[in-house]
Amino acid sequence: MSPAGPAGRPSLAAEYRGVSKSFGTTRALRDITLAIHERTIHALVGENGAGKSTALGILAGRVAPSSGEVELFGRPLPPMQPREARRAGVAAIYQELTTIPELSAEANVFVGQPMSQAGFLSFKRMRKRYEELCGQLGVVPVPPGVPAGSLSVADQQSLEIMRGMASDARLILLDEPTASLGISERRTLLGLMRQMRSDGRTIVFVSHNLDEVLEVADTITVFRNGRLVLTTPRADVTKRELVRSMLGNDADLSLVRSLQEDSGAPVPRRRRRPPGPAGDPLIRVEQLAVPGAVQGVDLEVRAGEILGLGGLVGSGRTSVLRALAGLEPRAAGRLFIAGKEVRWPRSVRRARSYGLALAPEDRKTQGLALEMPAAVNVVMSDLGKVSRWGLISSSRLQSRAQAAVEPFGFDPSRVGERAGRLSGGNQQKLLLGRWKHSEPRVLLVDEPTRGIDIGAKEDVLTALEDMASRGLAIIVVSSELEELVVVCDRVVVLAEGMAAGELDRDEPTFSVAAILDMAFSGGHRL
Amino acid sequence: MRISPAQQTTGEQVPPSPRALPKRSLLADAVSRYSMVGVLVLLVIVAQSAFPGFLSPGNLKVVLLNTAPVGLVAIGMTFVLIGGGFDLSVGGIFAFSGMLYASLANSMPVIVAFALMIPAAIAMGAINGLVITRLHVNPFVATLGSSSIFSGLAYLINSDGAITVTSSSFTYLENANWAGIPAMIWILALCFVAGGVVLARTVYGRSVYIVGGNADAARLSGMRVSIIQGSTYALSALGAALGGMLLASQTGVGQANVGVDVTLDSIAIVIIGGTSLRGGQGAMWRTLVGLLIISTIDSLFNSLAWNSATQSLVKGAIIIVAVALDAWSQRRG
Repeated sequence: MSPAGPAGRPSLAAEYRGVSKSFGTTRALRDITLAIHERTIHALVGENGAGKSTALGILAGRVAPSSGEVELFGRPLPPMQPREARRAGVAAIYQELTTIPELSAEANVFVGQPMSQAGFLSFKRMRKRYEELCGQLGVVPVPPGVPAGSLSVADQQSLEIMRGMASDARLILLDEPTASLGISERRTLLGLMRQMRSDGRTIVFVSHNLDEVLEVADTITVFRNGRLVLTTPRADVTKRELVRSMLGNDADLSLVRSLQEDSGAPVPRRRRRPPGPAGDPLIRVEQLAVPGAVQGVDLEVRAGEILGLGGLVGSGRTSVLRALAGLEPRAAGRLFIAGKEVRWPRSVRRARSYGLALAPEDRKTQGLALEMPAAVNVVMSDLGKVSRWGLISSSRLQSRAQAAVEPFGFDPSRVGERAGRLSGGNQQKLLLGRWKHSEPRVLLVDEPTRGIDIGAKEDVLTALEDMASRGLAIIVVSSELEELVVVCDRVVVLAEGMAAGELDRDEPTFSVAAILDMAFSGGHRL
Repeated sequence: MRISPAQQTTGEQVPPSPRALPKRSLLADAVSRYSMVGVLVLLVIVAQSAFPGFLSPGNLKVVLLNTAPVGLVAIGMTFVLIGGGFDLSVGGIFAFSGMLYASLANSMPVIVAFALMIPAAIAMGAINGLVITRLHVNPFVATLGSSSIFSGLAYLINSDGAITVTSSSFTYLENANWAGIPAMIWILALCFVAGGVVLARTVYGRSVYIVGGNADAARLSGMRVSIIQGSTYALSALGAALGGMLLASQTGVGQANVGVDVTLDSIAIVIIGGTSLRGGQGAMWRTLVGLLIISTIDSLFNSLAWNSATQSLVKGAIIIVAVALDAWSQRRG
């Protein structure tokens, strides 16, 4: 399948030879030797902090190896030279968005690779190419003239992918390409990766979604603690084996096991929680409308209950949460808290006064003060609890923060570290710990497991269940439908801003397939 | 299927990773954390060897008295910068407050004038805060504009730009010694301690850090972001007003043209100390270090008899280097 190289070997797109990388005392990569064959799709998997993103960054010329050599298409890559990597034919699409918010969607696709003639931009050609790319990606065409900053995260991710496609790169690096995409966009992207391979390009991608990895990759490499523990053809490995080698042997695999059920079959609840008190719901929403996003949505959640919001990206899930959190000033609807009607919250403080709190989707920009210690990020929901007469007690701050995050499996000795230095999973635990420190009555959680590793997912989901069993009402939005099926008591499926239906755990049809069925059938089947 | 040599490696052979001992990074951290203290010590040694009387109590007194007014401004500025804002109006407020204080002192007891100035100063800063947080005007533009307004008001009080105060108690602070130390140095020290305690130990101070670090996260945690951010401008106005009043007390005259260098100097002091322009990072002790660095340099300049043009050149260069160092250390992360 690959053309043979001069030595009779298949030609390589990239090769690591004894590559190590340290950040201060952290050893991100230890003596990695790995060959990436041309015209293949090569997946890098592992827990957060295992080293896979660092490995990708080295190929992109963004991270300099501490020792060892890297070759691209048979030529050594000088370290820390993104420009050299690009010239060698590498295009990188990072997990963190690199779109420029002020530039138009179209201009973002052609950043660094504008189409021009004699120094003048060729607007017509770029528009045509832009439309082609939208078509290839199979997304609803993103309006080309709109500033990228005003687009949803998913749309911005699409722009990043289109930027990679627009380049003539021979080696394409993708870091968590599907993390913020909806199901249909994911499918299209996977198809697109295959197409790029048959066009003669090589793809290296990092993903937490093992189903996707197993579906699309030719070769899979597993990292753990900075070491390469396994490189194998896809055909020779099962999901369970992959998870085993990612985690080592000592990890708690109950979530993993439950996720390994066929996604169509009903998944049993992992732990029995006492059913919430019947009777009045703690929170009831009638006819919620957010202009341009949500229309006529009704919800109710009892204390002790976990409600999932399912649906595709753009179905209005996040808008519902934001409206409840007081972040949508134009939201309208009727809100009842413990049976009493209250004014719709138009500010976060008002929402908080009703007992509604949001753990946002974007941890880095909306969730955490990255330069501050982890402990401060936890107690910031209520500094009064760690102070007397307005004076903060450092020891109480420390101990309260530790107590709040420990149940989530966060190492309490690390609360003094800067939040920005922690892995995605640990950052998520800080966000949830914040609402453990100062407990709301209703917790709104947006994509709690996005971009975090399986071990941390398990911790986070277990913690949500524990919080619910102590009387919180929880509303969860997640693109990981399996997780909704695992932890939720009920799931309301949204489609195109309207409720498409509701599924109850007690019904025999409670499954990923049923959620998908509703999500794709639109808002007509109530 | 071709596979790389590593295929045979399986997970079981990887030893459990021991918790790394962060010894070296602690040392590196300490070096970068306290680098400005090292710079200060170095400067003091240079100053002492260039001018052997530098560390004599008499000279230190002069150095500190010269620097006290702008030092007060820098204390307030520290709150604004850590809160993620910026205040260009302190020069205008500094001059206007000196003039207002002098003119009030000519028509009422000095102590009453002093007491009236406090709420007046807070009101000036509150206006900045409201314009920035409620009208959403960029802090640079808002305070640049209000600086012009306050400078104008200073001349409105007296078009000559100077008011001489006749009451002898107006210069009380200039002459008073408490426990053998000039009153002005006491005031400066007290304000540093108070500012430091508020910033480091109170709920308010911690909130300023959090808001400066990530305003969105603070808002979602239920903090009153506008009020916290706006209040830092009230504090910087209070510091600027106290500084202007102190200077007027030193000279016995309220002057409208004294604020020109104050804005740059106060921001420079805070930044040289190592407080970040990006907000969310810094400390009051850093501002003290910055103040001592700047005043040592000033004193050095004077003992070397450099003219003001040279001083201005060197000072500007120092500020740019300090910010570049901050950016560099930020990149290294």
